[in-house]
Amino acid sequence: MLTNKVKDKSTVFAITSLLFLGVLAISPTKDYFSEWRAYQKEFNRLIKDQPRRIKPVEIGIKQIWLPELGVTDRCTSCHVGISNQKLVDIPAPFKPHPIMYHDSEEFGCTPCHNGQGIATTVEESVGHEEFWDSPMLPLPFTEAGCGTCHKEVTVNDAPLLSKGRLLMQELNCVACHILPGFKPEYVPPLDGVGKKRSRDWLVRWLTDPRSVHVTAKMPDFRLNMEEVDILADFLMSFDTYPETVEIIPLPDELKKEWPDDDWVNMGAKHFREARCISCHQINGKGGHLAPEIGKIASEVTHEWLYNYIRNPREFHAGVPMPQYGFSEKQTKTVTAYILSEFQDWDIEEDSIEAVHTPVPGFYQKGLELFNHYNCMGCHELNVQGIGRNMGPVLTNIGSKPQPELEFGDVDIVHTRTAYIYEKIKNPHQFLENSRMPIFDLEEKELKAITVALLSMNDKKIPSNYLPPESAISTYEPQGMFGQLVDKYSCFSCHVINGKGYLLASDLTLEGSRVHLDWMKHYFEIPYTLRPTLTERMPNLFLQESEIEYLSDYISTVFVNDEIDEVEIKMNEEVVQRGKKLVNDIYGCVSCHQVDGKGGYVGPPFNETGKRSKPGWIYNWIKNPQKYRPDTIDPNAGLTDEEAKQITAYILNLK
Amino acid sequence: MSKKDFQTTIDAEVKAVPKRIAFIKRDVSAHVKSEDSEMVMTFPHLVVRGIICFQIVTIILVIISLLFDAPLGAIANPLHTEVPAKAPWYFLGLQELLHYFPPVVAGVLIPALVIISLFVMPYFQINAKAERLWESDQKKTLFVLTFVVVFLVALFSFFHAMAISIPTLFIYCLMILPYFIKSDIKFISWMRHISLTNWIMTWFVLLAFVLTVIGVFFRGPYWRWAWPWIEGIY
Amino acid sequence: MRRLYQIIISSEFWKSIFRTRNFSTNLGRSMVIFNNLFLHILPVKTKRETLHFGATMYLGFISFSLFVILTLTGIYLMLYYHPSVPQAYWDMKDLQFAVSNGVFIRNLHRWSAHAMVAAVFLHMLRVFYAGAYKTPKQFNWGMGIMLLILTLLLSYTGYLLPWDQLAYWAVSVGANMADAAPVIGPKLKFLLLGGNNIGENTLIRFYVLHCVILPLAAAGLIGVHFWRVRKDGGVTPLFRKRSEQIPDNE
Repeated sequence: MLTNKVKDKSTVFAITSLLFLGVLAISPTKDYFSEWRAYQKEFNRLIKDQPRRIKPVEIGIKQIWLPELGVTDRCTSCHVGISNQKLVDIPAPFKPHPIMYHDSEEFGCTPCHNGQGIATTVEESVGHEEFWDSPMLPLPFTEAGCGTCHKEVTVNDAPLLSKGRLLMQELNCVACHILPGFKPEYVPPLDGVGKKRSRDWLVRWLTDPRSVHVTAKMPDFRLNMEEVDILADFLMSFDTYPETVEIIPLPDELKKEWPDDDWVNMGAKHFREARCISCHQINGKGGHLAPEIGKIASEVTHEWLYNYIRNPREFHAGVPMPQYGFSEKQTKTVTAYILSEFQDWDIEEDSIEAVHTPVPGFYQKGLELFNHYNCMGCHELNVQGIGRNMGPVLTNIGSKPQPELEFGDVDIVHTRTAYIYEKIKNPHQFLENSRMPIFDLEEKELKAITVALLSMNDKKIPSNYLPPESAISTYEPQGMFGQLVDKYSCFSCHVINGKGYLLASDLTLEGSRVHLDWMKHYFEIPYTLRPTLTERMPNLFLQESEIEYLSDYISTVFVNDEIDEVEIKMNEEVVQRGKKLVNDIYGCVSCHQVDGKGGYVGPPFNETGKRSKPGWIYNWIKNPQKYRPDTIDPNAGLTDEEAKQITAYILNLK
Repeated sequence: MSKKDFQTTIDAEVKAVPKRIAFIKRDVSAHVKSEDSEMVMTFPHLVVRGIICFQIVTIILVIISLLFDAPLGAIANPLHTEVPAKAPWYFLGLQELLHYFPPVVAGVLIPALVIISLFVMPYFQINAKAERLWESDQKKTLFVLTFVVVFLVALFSFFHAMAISIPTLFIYCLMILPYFIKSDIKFISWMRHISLTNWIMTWFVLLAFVLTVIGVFFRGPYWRWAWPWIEGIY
Repeated sequence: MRRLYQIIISSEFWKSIFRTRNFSTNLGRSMVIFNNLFLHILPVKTKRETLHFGATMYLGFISFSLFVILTLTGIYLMLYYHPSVPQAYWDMKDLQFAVSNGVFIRNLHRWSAHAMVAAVFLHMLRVFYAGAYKTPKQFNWGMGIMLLILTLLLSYTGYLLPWDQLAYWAVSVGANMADAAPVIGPKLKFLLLGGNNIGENTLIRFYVLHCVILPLAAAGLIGVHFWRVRKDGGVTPLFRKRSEQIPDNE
């Protein structure tokens, strides 16, 4: 009996033992057939068809371990060909990395791309991993990775990021959000707005600024009719300018319904010389730096317009518009021209005439609305009771934990990238009564801002990995020169010692660059150096004494002795050799004109001698990028002698 | 039902199994003294069964482990509260209690009482007696039982602890079932034999089960009620 | 096969390890138990009525099997684990992505831990309903309760070790319960966490408890528990087979 029993149990025992061993073997087998191993084998198979001999990869998990950066990136376990530029026509994931800005062995992969670097499966490394808070940046948004360390506004080779940061500056996001690195910009102050605008205009503007000006900078706050009415009444109540504004009553000449023709013609001439349309748009044509003025005569009071042209700074300190040196008559003629020309012909007379009774309690309600929408983020208004009312802090929006983002019922992928993109596109889809206005951006712009915002994260990067911080300029011109620079808004277009906006040229070395006489002449009648450029130096209508002062100041202060000290020997032989170099050897004429022949990209050489000093020409052609990093003028690697010969040739041309 | 009837019932059963009356005291483990049980060799009978048991347990768990991955959340972050913060499943009954009672009661008093009562139970003579609930004075039993249950249910209801009141009432109904149904259906007669100790244990187990199930499946963020088929399991 | 079997069990090597060769007599079979350090905690003879499934549901065996699995997988996991913040979490990721069979072993450990809590609890219920806590087994019942508490503590301390959000907040719920105790509550919480908040001190504390103190205590108590099962007269079956006789053809 006992024997039988043992025998029967031993059958069960045998079966369970086999099963036991069997199931224990499954996991090691699964391990052997892992994803990364399959990829490595596939790679070793594919490289046999490569034109050049590629070393097969040794099977095993690869990783880049950078403890200082906190990086353990196993991406290269599958992306085995990432730094092998010899590979051609190989499919993903084996493709070599397009351009490597940073050595992957030194920087790893995830500091730029994010993603779960330690993972060794596709889904968990680059896919949507629920519990990994920095999922891989979708490819179109990769530049956010650059912005993590590169905090300057424009980052070379990261166009989308730079565009995004510029846009954020332009849209003045910092008015409502705390955003380190951005400076708030103020648009026209609202003190005296009741004297400047009509209530009608305000209503139209508040309802939808873009319906008034297509290029309006102010976003659409989606105010309802009631709010618009209250705000318009509230704003119309500010009908006195601040005491600092000196108002000259509208001259009688301009009070006529139509100004005299010769005034208008004169004004038109000055208007052109002042190159107003370099910055302003007129019915959609012109620059994009300043507001549309195509219908300005119908949009503001004539008194305001006249006084504003006289001195914009009084109304709006820090406005980029220069204070033109018009004489009183010139101001009147320009105003006359604008009043006669830039009218809104469609406006209905009735609407202007209608008398309006303000909404009861408009002031208190208006003040509440003004504060609610944080209008003071952009507009100054000196009234009791104005308070700052900021939106969310965006300092670390790029690393805000994904579970903290409130997606609501919006049907999108629950990633940070999608959230930011959709939020800027239409804030109201997440929160019905969101205060955030709609900016009406194009897809490319939305992407750019998303990239810029994603780059604002709290990733901790050791300082030795960070790029050297670009020194912020502390240059502040003093004295008379400082006053003139401010009056004429030179920094709106020019850079001096790192300060200003580089729309035109950098004036830091202008004294070594151009002849004093040329400079004086240029202030009187500025003409463009390059035929292809559109933004041109306006005629600022400087006074004689101002021109003297500025020219002297520039040619004595903004100099570099090293440039000036170069001596150029002028004789026929040297000039001839220079001619040969310019025409035949270096082919300069493909971009520059000589005697009316050649390209249009660079400035013509015939004029150059009159303008540029010899030392400048010599130094420039030796290394153009030293003086202007983004210039397309190539560094031809000239010898000192060649440079001198070319300089001599250019100076010889008249 | 008169007292006499009840006695008779017991007598009849005792007669049916005379051996037990002869040898077994109620306050000892009933089967220790059962005689004549056949002995077999531990090796191989028990040892082989033990090994087979081990192997089967391993096989089942290996299969589970191959199919389901253990959860791993995001890295611990004291600044970001997990919603909902749930204890391991076996403590969710307690966490559910915390929802109803003040922390001192739910987190300290009740667990301590449960543990202590489990420890002392074998030494506590009244409990140790495997006395049937409906053995002696039935009316008194019913009265006391009803009184206790009403008191408990009132107490729980004061704390809005429906999840405790309802199972308690359910157990109460089962307990008094043999009092009202006199039939000799097997189930009822089996119920009649259950001792008070077993009833209390069953009540405790049912409560633990119900509370744990609620904690695991029916609680969402901030411990509010969540239907698992609508909101899923948190 | 049979010859191979004979060769193996008659080899010097086999003999040197297992002192018993002859399993076919009751003496030999008894010797297996006597001669084995681990098996001699069992009696030489067992009551037949306790062998069938309904008697015990093998819940004690299952609990012990799970304890063995947990010990083995736990040792494997210890090899890859640092009880430090935040390395503990990265070790989980490494187990998942780089260690051979890492996920599998971690899964096995995790699920076995859950299963053990359930098995031990069910074992307790089985013993209760069988009335096996009564004289003379009161002490072993107490041992069993201790083991149940140890199991819960082992599971709870292990819960923190992955250092993820689940762990952190589950443990903080538990710690706050301790906090609620009158008078000693805050002290108790401080003792448990090694500080006022869950941090690296807590992790070390739980690690030592989970890997050294509690397993040793549990192993010791399990030994006593088994010994007393034998000394207190064996297992009390919950259900009996209608016929106590196990058929000969089993």
